[in-house]
Amino acid sequence: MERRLRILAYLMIAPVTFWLLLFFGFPIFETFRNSLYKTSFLGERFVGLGNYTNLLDDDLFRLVLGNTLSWTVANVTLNIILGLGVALLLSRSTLFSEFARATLILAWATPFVVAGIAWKWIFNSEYGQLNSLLLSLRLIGEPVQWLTNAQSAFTGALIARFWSAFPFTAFAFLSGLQSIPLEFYEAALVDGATPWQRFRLITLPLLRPVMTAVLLISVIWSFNSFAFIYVMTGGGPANKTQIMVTEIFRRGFGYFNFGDASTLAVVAFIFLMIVSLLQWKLFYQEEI
Amino acid sequence: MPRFSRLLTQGLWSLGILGIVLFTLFPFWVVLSTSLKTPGEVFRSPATLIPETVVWENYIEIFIQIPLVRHLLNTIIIAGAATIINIAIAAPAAYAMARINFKGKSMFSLGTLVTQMFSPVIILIPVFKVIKELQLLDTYFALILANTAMTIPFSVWMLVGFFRSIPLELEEAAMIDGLSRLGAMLKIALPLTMPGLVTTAIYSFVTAWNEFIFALVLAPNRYMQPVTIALYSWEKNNVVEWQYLMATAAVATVPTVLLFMLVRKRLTAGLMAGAIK
Repeated sequence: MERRLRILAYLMIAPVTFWLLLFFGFPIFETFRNSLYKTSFLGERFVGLGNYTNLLDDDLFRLVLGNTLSWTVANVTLNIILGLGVALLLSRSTLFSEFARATLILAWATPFVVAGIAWKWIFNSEYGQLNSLLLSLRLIGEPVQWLTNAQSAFTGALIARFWSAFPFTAFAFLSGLQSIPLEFYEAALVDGATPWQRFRLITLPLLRPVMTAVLLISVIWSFNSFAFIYVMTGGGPANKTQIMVTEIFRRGFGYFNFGDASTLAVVAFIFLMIVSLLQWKLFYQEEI
Repeated sequence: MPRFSRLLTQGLWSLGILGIVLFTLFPFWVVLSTSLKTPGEVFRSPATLIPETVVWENYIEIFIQIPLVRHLLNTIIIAGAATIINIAIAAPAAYAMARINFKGKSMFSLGTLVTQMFSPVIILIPVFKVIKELQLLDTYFALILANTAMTIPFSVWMLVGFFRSIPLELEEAAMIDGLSRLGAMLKIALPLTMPGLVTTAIYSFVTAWNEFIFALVLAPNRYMQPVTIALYSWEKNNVVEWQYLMATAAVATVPTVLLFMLVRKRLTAGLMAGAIK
């Protein structure tokens, strides 16, 4: 009986296992292998770890690494802090907050490409609606040049990604908030705790598991977010907003330098592995 | 005085929510208003927030000037097929993980967890090479395969959560009454998780609908491209026809928004199960 049950289980997981090995196992192996070759118009030449040692004095790689770090950190910080803020604002169930929650779904469901395009147009310095809005509210005297220098291009892409990422974060925090027993707050009220004390001593500690989970997933999703940079800045000006995933794509499919691109892909893979193993340790291991 | 301060808090509270709503809706407003403008008004500075002349014909033009029906059909075929395969193979796997103890279970769950964190970019080169070698570029087959792979890991985790949320006793009682494990799954667990299955299906359908990177390299021929790539049709010689681009963007977004609206309550629960616990 036990044995038959186990066989049934293996049959049930077999298709997924096969699919994952085919689409992730094999390609990852191939990516490792490709990273040991140099691609040129002559074809592929085995160079061992040559591509990796080259990375050490690759200035562009260092720039991309730095960009990726600031992109990920900025995205995650914005997402967590404002996502929590939004969740707190929407936590009381009123008609207005129900309406607001429904609008968040709109942003969440919007394809990344569409969101990127919409924000790119909003930020257009000549014809964009942001400048026109700010001008009509007299907040600025003349049009601001958004997206033209590295700093503003980076910020623009950041805002656009935040727009499409914060609904999930807010919903995650909202369901975390709902799982905190109301008695805790009632008891704190009886003891005369201020709102800030209630937040710091009840909400925050009890929200910690959700917070850690959202943090990790937010790190991964920010690191992986390709469309906003690709659509809005194309990595420019002068690669100053290029991040890891867009750079892999550029080296692979812009220059068809598969060897180089694979080397970067391996670096990205290792980073993602570390974060997901952390996630595994913290949230899943005991459950299985 | 306390009444006044309560009023003030409530006012600030509502103002905050209003801010969120305006921020969320602003891009939609921009997309819709731009999609209804004349070319002349699109390139007016400063931009108008409400179109002076409303050109509904833009929404007809986009279907005439590019093969938009074909693009939409491509997306529906790719996302639809990927979702069906996905649910068909993820549901049994998730059930096994939720209900049966077997050796290698933690390996399997680690595998599905790690793969859901992958960026398509990491596996793009080998996938492209193989697909090209097999002469499967510009086929539904390749895009369906890739989209199924990208959505399976998440589906498995979401479904594990949904299966766990139904009480074990129901299946146990049915098995005491002589139903086999497989029978218990098909007759008891699956019907009970129907809402969860629908939520998971919609999530993976929308993910496949929004997919961009694989389509960018696996479908060079425009007649095979899904609607997310079709948006680029409006960029010709560095000039963008924004009114048509925005109209196409609106058309591409309506289905995903409607689908998410349908399951909005369960979606977070499912993702929390999948992504968080």
